[in-house]
Amino acid sequence: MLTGKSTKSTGVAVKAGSGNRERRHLSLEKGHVAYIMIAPFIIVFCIFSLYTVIYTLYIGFTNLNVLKPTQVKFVGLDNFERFFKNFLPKNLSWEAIKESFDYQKFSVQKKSIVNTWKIWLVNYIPQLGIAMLLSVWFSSSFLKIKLIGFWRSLLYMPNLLMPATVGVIFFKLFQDKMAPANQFLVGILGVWDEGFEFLMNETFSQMLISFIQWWMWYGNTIVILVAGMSSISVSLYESAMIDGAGGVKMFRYITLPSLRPILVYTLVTSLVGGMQMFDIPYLISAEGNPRNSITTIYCLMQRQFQLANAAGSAAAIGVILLLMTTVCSMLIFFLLRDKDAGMERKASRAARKERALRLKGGRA
Amino acid sequence: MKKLVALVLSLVLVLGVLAACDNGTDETTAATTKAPEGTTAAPVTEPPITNLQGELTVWSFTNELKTMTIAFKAANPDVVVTYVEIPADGGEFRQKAIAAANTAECPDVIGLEAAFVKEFVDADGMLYDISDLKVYADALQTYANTIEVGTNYESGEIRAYSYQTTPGAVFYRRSLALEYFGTDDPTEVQALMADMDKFTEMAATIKEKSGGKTFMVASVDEFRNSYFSNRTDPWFVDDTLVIDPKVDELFEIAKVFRENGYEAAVNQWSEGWFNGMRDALSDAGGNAIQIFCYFLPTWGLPYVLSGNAGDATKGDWGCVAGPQPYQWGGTWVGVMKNAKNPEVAKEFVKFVALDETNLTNWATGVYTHDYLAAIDPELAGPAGEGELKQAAGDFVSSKKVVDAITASFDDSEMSLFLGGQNSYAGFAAAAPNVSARLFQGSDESVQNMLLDAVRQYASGAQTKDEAIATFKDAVAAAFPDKSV
Repeated sequence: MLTGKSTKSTGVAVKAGSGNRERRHLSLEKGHVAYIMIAPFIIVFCIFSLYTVIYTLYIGFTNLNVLKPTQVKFVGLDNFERFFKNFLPKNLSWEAIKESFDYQKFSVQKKSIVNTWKIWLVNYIPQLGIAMLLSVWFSSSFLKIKLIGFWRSLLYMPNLLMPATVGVIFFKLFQDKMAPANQFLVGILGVWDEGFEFLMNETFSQMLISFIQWWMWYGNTIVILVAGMSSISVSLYESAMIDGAGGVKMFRYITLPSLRPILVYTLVTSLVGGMQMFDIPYLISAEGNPRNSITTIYCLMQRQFQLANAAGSAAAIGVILLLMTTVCSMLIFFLLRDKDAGMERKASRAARKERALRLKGGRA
Repeated sequence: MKKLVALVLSLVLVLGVLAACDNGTDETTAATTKAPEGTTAAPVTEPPITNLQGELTVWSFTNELKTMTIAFKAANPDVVVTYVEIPADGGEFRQKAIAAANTAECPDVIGLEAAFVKEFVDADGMLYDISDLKVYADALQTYANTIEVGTNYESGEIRAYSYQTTPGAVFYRRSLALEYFGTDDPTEVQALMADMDKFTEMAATIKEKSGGKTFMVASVDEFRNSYFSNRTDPWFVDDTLVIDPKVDELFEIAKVFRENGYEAAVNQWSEGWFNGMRDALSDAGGNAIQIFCYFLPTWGLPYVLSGNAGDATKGDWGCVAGPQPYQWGGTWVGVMKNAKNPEVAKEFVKFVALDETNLTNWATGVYTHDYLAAIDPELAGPAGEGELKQAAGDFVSSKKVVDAITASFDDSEMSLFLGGQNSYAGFAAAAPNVSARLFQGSDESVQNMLLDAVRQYASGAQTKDEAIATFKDAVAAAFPDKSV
């Protein structure tokens, strides 16, 4: 790595020596082309993304109703206040604190945040675990699994289905007492005497959505992890084996550290997707039934916008969602940052400074 | 040179992206059909030709209004009509119409579904005042409830009319009625289920005599509309949620039906619900079970019941008004405030909802594929799946027309399905009792939220107070502008 860098810099130095004017001209033109090349994205991004984000922030502070646009007025933090109402215990008594942790007594807004995190975490933790295990197997040059391509595409398959289709299929499977799931459990296996109403049960509904998300996305995570693992040099494993390391140790000390950037990537993309979870819960129940247990933050935002035309309040939820996702992503970047690399950088900077000082000293 | 190429390439890219954002107006205008150059095939009932001129854009969500636009063209050959269909699923149509209302894209005439008609009628600056068409409605004895729906809450202006009215009914299995009550005659069955107490008694009898194999209804979802239609106040009065005493009754009746096993716990629109219509329903254990009756409105007979029942139970159905009069669904038409051509648009609304000839043709199946294809050459071609036509049997909004055509349904396909009973006559008896003044844009969602609470209470998961509190929370969260 270091050697590569130094050759590059010498290359530039040589060029610089050959003629300053020419170099400037070259880099200017290159720069122009680059700007023109990225211009379409920047323009489209500014019009369709940046502007809308800023506008959303603005209407988050108003009471804009789509059907009464003339009555719009600035309402300050009202929308945010309404969202966070009853989040904290009313007072500091033991009873009030206990009540503030009782899911059944949560406001729908509070439920939506808890639901989103719960459904996402229950889906993501096993997703990462199983994807990791399968990708270790798939990329292992010692296990030599046959037909790897076949298995990989088979596991990826659920991700190719439309979420709308998947949502409807699972809804139909568990819909009511006569649903296929009940016919199987009661009629064929004889688990119960009577059908069970799955979708009237809060925990089941949440776990069902977690399962669907897991099932749809673990194949995708496998593909990303396998790509990351195959870029780790085999020689590292070979030398570890010569030193007598077992599978677990190799995973712990070679695979995991080398995968860190890939892990950060999957974690952040999954977090962003998970916080915006909408289609599957919406298709299971547009009203978040039973008892708002599958209302996610995005569902609530959509409901306020589409049912009540309350664009102002919905925009405020969008802003809260954006802030939450941003803060959590930054936290992930911070916690999973490459500490060794940071230290190395610090050390090399210190070394450079020292050398410079020494040089200065020498000249003086 | 390089710069130029790069510039051109990036411009093409930007244009490509922008073009992709355009919502394909080209396609819709391409669907515009030219005014016919003279109708060759003589229609059964020829409407008088007018010399009305201009352009007209109509937006709707089913092909019903498309049929209407073609029929309209026969009578007004000089009007150029553009018809745009946008599906109503998931609120798409409604959203698009709201978004277009204040733009140059604004249509002239818009189809309004029961779920959002009130929202548009009560919104400020959305629909044109067409109260002056009321004289035609009076002449046709248009059912008052359809006009109530189209009337603005504050100003009393009429802003939308409907060509249909959708009273609800109860469809029961004749063979089961004969088996458990010794009669399958609609009058006697209606007497047996004249009110909800009698209806419950009937349910008990059926359960007892069938040994639990036959259920009175599929689920408590069935009679929700009959309770909601009979409230005194709409869900929101002055932006505050009103929980009517009828809601309380619904909670109680649901509990009774659930605890006593009078309902099969098969949700509306589920596979089991449709299977019950063709007598192919089995419980989770695989034992055959039956459902005695279904609550469906006028459109439920041709579109839901007869289609799903097929030959299995054809002729085995009877139709009665049921324990409480109710109403379910319907389509209204209104003129948009920003219509480019309000006068022509008004003529179109008049033609669709308040024209005797048109309503008669509409209900009696005159608008066949061949009839429409003769007016609009673009439809020409072999009739087949997805062809445009309006089958006989839609229940129209004019009492005058209904009275005139009821007898013609004695031998219709739908009457055969009902074992010879003239369904049109049954609906005609129920239509005047229907109240639709409670309509609000938010009804469907509020009612789905309530239904969850009702189920939680009926199944014993929550007490009634808890269930109502959950319901109020859900409404408050979804409707931030309202108080509960």
